[in-house]
Amino acid sequence: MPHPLNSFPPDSGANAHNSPRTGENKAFVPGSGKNVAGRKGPALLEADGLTITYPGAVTALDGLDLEVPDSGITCLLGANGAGKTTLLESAAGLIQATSGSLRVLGTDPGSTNNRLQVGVMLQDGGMPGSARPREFLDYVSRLYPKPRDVRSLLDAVEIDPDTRAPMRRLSGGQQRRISWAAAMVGNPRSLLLDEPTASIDPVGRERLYDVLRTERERGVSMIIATHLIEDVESLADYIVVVRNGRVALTGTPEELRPRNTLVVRSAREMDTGALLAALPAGSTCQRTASDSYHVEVPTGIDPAVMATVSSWCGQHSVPPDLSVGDLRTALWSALRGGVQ
Amino acid sequence: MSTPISTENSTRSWSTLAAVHARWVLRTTWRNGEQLFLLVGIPLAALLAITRTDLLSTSTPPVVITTVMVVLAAGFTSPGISVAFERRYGSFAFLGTTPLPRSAIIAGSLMAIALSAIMALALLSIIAAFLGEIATNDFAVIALTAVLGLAAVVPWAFVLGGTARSETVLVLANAVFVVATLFGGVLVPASSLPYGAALAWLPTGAMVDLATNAGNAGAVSVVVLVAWSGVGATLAVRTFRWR
Repeated sequence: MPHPLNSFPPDSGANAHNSPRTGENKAFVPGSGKNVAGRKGPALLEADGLTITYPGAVTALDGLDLEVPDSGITCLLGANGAGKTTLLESAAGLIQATSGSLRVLGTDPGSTNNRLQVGVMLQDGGMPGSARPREFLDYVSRLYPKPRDVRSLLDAVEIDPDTRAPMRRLSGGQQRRISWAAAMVGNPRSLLLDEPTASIDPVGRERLYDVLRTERERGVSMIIATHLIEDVESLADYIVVVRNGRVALTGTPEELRPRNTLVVRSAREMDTGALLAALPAGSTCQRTASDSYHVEVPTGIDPAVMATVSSWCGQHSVPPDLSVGDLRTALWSALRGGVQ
Repeated sequence: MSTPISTENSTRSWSTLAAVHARWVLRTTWRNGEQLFLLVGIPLAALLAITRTDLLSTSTPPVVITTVMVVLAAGFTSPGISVAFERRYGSFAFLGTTPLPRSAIIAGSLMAIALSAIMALALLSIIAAFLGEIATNDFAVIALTAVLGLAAVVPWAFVLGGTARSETVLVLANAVFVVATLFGGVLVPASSLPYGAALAWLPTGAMVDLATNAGNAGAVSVVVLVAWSGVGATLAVRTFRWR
């Protein structure tokens, strides 16, 4: 049972990750084992001091440094206004950098090569409202030398290829699915997706996660901008948290998971004093949501700690449902800027 | 899903891409009921009103009137509205991420506009022939009028459609069509209007003058149309926004 985000205050376990870790990502090695292509070459995205200022002196990106590996799924997580869309649109060649540099697959964003090889889904979709889904995708597919089959793509995103309804009559979620298909129709080697799961229902979202996992299996690298931690938990091989136009945190899910925190799922009130007495000195235990306790052990979570916590659960007749670390906590904390 | 991922480096040729876009614009234009009404329906109604009723008494040949109406509809109102909606939907931005260059979008749109005008004029000519209203005017003069007329008004479609909100464009582009055909020296002859002399300096008046060899000498009408084209194109290049 996932935590409802709004009832989930960050705990102290993520303090170590509050400071920006820009630059550490240079040593990233794709660790998912799912990248069948195993490409070596330029990064999918490489930003160096990237600054983008909109008219009216609104600074959307403020000297952003970032390197995104050309493999697997990278989730770009940030609050509204953090700079995610600006970064993706500049990577798509739609916005010029005010200063600094940005390379996509080793070339300028928007280069002919990138337009062929990088499929883009924009936040506002960009699908013409008066056109039918299939005819528009047929048209877009003709812009590419080796497009994918439009009918099977629409099937994959669960849009009826034979619908005669113009796209403006379709729901927001359906329009979003068509934008997905439009990003993939050119058979790209990389994808830039801006909030692909926005306004898509939970069942559809799972289905679309599967579509993206399939793309990953085929060797497609991608960047997904999202404000949903759920997207990150489900998909990310690599995580970039953006805040105020800068990179606040980068790393693989494994790297970002606090190693000394144990999450205990329990809706029942439990006696934390009894647990703390049995754990190493300096340990803490907090009820962080109505259905969970966070146990932080400074010496780390070892089998002895696991056994202690399990037996504590047993004393309260709670089935031990324990997970080490909590990615959500670390991300939540990075999103909020460590303000507690 | 077993397609290998793309390592394709060769793009389709510029002219192919422009043609693909032209075909798309044509398709969406000719399937849209409102656009068809504007392109063919209203000029046909005018043709019938002139030739079959006493509602409009004018000495201007019907073929000239329908040509000017088609030029206005195909060259200004229809592309102005569709460009404005493409901008609103963000489709130009999306296309900007595909291999379709902006120059091919412009070229394809211009091709589609020209083809729309030709198709509408051909359709109206066939209907006119069936009605027994064989055009007595010189075909070459009518063709020149259509070409220069399109050149004069098309840039202004991009000036309006490329800057204003789609709802505003929808109202203004249709209003310009109605006002220009009614009071711009097309349906009501310039000679019957108190400000008739001034109309020679507007695209509609200049087109009618050129096609009927009336008012100003033909050369002046050509200069007027070319000037509208030049000023419009300069403004369009400076003001057009892709979204």
